[in-house]
Amino acid sequence: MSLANIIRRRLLLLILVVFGVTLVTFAISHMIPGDPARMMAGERASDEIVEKMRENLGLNKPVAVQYAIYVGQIARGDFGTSIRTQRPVISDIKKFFPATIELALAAMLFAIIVGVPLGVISAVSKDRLIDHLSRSISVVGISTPAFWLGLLMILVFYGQLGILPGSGRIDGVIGPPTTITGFYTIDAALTGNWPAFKSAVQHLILPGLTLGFLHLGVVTRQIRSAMLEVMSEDYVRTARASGLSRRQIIYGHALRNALIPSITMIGLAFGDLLYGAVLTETVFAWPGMGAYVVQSISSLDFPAIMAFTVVASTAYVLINLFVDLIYMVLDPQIREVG
Amino acid sequence: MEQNPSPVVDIDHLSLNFQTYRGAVQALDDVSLQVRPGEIVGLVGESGCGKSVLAMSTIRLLPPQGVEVPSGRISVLGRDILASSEAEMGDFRGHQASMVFQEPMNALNPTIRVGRQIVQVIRRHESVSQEQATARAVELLREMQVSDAERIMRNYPFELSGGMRQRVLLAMAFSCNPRVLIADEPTTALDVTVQAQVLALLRTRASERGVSVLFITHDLAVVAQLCDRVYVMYAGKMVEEGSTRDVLKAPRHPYTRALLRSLPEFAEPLHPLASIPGTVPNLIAPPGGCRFRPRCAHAFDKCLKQPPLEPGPDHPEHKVACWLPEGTADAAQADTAEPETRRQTGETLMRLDQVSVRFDVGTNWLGKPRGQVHAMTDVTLDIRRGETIGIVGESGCGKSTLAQVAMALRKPSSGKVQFDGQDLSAVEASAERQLRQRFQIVFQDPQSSLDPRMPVWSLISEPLAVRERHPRSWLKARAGELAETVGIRADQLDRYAHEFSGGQRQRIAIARALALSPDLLVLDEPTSALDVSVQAQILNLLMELQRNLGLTYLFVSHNVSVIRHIADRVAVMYLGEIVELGTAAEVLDDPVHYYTRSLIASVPRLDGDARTGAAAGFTELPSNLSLPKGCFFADRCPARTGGCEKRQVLAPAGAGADRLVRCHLAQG
Amino acid sequence: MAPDANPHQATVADGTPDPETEAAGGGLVDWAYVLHQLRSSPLTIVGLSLITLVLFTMAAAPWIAPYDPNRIDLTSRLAPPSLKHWMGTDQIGRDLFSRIIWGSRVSVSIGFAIVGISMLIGTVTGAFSGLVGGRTDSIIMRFMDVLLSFPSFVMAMALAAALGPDLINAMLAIAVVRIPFYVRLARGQALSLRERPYVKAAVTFGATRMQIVRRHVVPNAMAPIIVQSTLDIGSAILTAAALSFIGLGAQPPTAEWGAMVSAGRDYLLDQWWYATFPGLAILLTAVGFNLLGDGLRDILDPKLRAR
Repeated sequence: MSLANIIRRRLLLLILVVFGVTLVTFAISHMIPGDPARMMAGERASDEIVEKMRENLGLNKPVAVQYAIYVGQIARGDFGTSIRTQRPVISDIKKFFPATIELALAAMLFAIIVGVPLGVISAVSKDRLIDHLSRSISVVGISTPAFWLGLLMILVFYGQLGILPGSGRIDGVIGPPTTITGFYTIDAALTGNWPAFKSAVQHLILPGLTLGFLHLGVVTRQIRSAMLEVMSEDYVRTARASGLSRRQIIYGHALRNALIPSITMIGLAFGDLLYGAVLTETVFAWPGMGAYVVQSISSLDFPAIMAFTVVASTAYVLINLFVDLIYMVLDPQIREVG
Repeated sequence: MEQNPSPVVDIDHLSLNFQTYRGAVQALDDVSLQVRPGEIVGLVGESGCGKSVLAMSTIRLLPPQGVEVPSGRISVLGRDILASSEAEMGDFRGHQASMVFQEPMNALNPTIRVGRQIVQVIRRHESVSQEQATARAVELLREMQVSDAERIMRNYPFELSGGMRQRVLLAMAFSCNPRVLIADEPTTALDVTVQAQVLALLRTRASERGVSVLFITHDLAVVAQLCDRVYVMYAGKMVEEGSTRDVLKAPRHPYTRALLRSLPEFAEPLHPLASIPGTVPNLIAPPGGCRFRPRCAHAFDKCLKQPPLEPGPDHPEHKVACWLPEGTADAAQADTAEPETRRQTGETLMRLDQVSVRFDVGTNWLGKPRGQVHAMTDVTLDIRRGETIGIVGESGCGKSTLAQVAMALRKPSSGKVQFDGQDLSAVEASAERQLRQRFQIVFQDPQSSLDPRMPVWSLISEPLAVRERHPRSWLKARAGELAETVGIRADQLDRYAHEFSGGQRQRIAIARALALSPDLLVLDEPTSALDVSVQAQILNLLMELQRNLGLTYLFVSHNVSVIRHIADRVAVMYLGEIVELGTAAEVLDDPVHYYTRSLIASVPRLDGDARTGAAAGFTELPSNLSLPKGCFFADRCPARTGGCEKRQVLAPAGAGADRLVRCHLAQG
Repeated sequence: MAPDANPHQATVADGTPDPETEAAGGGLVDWAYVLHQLRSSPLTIVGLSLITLVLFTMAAAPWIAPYDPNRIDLTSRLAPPSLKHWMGTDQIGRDLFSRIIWGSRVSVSIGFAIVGISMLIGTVTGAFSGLVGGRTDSIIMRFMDVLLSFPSFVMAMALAAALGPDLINAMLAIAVVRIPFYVRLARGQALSLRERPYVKAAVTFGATRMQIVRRHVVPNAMAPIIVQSTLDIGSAILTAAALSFIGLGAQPPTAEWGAMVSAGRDYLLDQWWYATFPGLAILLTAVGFNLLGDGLRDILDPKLRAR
């Protein structure tokens, strides 16, 4: 299959997914027990006002029309008004989105920097002590409840040792740096606001480690098994028979080929960071999308919940598309044939 | 050793064990081998005899875990291999001694351009610039008869054919001017015409460069063509050693003799082959004394003691490990069966009429195919009751597709298949089910054709069980009878397929195919996954069953000798077409189509000396994605003239109406 | 893919001991191999022990729990771990150790139920899709592609939120979003089995599609599905606990591990034991299932066996 074909197929899938997600969220908003018009209008509103509200919301139109209107609104970035914050949902999301991405990237970075070497070491010394150790780390990583790990981090590093902050993105006294990218660490560095940079980094460490540790498990495990697979291939034997050094074989031949399938796995894991982010942000009061949606859930703020679902799903598909592209660029069999 | 003090490879009384969870496998037991400067030495044996282990140990490629060397020495070019450090071995391998392997498909890294892989090896061992190394790599590829070397350098392995990859690997092995080359079955995965080219190349390049070669193979005919001296291994022991001529012409060990005599080319066609009973012993607990003793026809008391590998009184260079006095001949094989006459064959049982098969490859995003593989084109073939018709050809020629079409496992894209006068595509489902029991198939790999989770009785009786409800006891009894006819003991019926050897599994598969008492058996490479001695057992069994049950065989194989031995008539296929059809003797002993001629000429022969067929240079098989316009073979044909650009028809060659050929030069 | 696979491919397999003469007995399961695997991988033993412990706890909860999990004792509120209360007490004096023991019945059963539901629906759909092939298969798989592209936790969250905060709803939501994984797995199995020569052989002697499924596909596809579901139980337990933690799962006073961590969060800095022990229970259970699944995979994977 050629590159162009795969991209076309992926874009088609993207449209289908967004369509599917909106259908689901639309269905869900219609499934919710209770009358959204009354919810919007408030408990004490008169029937006329509720009726008026219903008309405003288009709830008296046929379902298909309602759905079309809904999709049209989403296309324009109009997700309605949050019941909880009374602001347009889209502006809330814009505000919280960069915080989540900053956290996810930090976690991913940690997981890859530590996880790839750990997986390689584990594979090349299979069934030895270091392998058991690294497998234990990765299994614990995969099996740890993110919310609980976050709590433990706060307990130890904030509560007991008092060396790191346990909540928020930045010290309230310092205040956020001038917005450029929306990432506090980068913005602070760009503007030379070093107190803000220091504070932002300090605040990022615990949630970043928490989220990163979960993915460390995924990355290590994937790299280990891909390396084991590759190390038993005939071409590794050829490389050994040609006298290539262990280093050349492991990094020049094996890791290179083990990374190709791993890219997909790690990419999928990045999508899953959304899951971890919801919990981690909640625990650390990190003002991102995850914490936002959990608060929306507790106040049954459906416009916000559904908007989050649509945005998160779209982001997830886009990330996967991006990962597939990287994969195709790396795998000559796909790249050259196209 | 006396006359040559410094062999380049000197393996001295080496023993080697593998630790496995079942116990220690004694893979090599007191094995000695020498390769002298400039020699090509063959090491032959069947699967599991330890020849690859020996090859890998020579440059210490076995993974260190679980390997013990209780005794012995390995010295290559004066280096003590067992005592060298890993760093020293790294400098040594690929530089002074290099190795090529069996499976060229996976022996190159799929994500690195082949040029870079060669350059990497050169620069590992010699301090030359990138440009110099690249220039050398191109030069090496040219020497390996790669015509378009610069382009090939930039290719990835998956863009190259098997033969081309093996050339690249040879170039890599020769890249740092090694003095020793170890070749482990380097041509076994290649088609016979490609094999001939690669062998010729290997020999000329080795002698030009003065490289000594240790050549590991299971194929005695390849040894005959290539090697100066040969070692024969059996069950981890060296049983015979000597010059190729001595060992193959006057073998002294009963195993070597039996192995040679189990080759189909050694017997008259259609006669029973001499086979070796039983299987190779388990090396966790090998038999005491001579390891061949349990299977040897001549074993006597003394064989309980291990015989030493010693030269005979008249043969200082021809050593054998056997207690038998020299000159013990094998009892003349009583020709039990009356000299086989050509069977009188009857009316047409199955008819393929203008059958073509095409499949789609690579679908685009709307699911539309991007191309079509022409697996079979206009094949017309009558299979007559009682005969064995052989289909022979190289990979991609369409012979397996033909087997599948005959079994109604694949629908023809056009054309008809008739069985006993009924069109298979036109009959109703229930009638098809009835018809199906009259033709059955045996596949190549008995391991994957038997469900690993079923006991043998259930495997054999499955065809009966799926057609009708039968009590278990009846099925078991019936399975027992069938097992008996193929030589499986009835007390083994409760075992599972993985507990049997390859040959026995193939017997089970045959028993299953016989369960419905079919008229026609389609045999799709039934012996290709087996060792020659086991192949002989299976071929004998098939011939015996045919005699007793009056079966008709459609026998598909890449192996010309096997087909010559077992078939009455032969169809030769090339690129999806039948190019020549006639009796086995006509087609294979006196081919007229130029493809058949080159195929036969490429088959290594025990008596033959080096073939010259390979000198013609290297041509790739055309793709069957886009077929040539005229004769499919024209591009590779030495006799190409005017008229070849036209599509060829299958027409009688000469007067005999039964002999057909698809070449205008040979017709009429 | 190619119509003629290379005929020589399986020719030379040097060094492998001849199976016929291998240890007598034999049979379907190679116990010597299983033992060897267990011995060389101590982590599998750890996993097996953890799961045994968890299952025992679930079964024997009434006998091993020192207190009634819902017994309120206002005189010993938020008591630290002691001989009387091994893991301390919560804000209304309930014994945390007893609640964790009883909680295993809720939290682990939810994991089993989730995997059971999704595996059952998923494998049946997937096997059907793979065996039928053609248009039906394409449609089912395109649909699954779409579902697989949803971020599963987010979807489960949205579904659970819509169904209303309740343990059963959370379970259903998680199960639904996991179905596509099993569809894909089972379909892959069915497709690869369909190409095995022994299935082709069955076609040649006239076995019906149902017979092939019953005799060959189901028994041979089980192993990878069992491995996958074992690994999945751990992750299902984690997800269910996570939903409970954000208030979408178990509701008070149910003794459920995730909800207990959530409740303990308010007392984190002063009463560390409250949130710590239930979380530890989740961790150990998930570790157990993951290790056991890894071990099973190593034992059942024939490719690893060859190594």
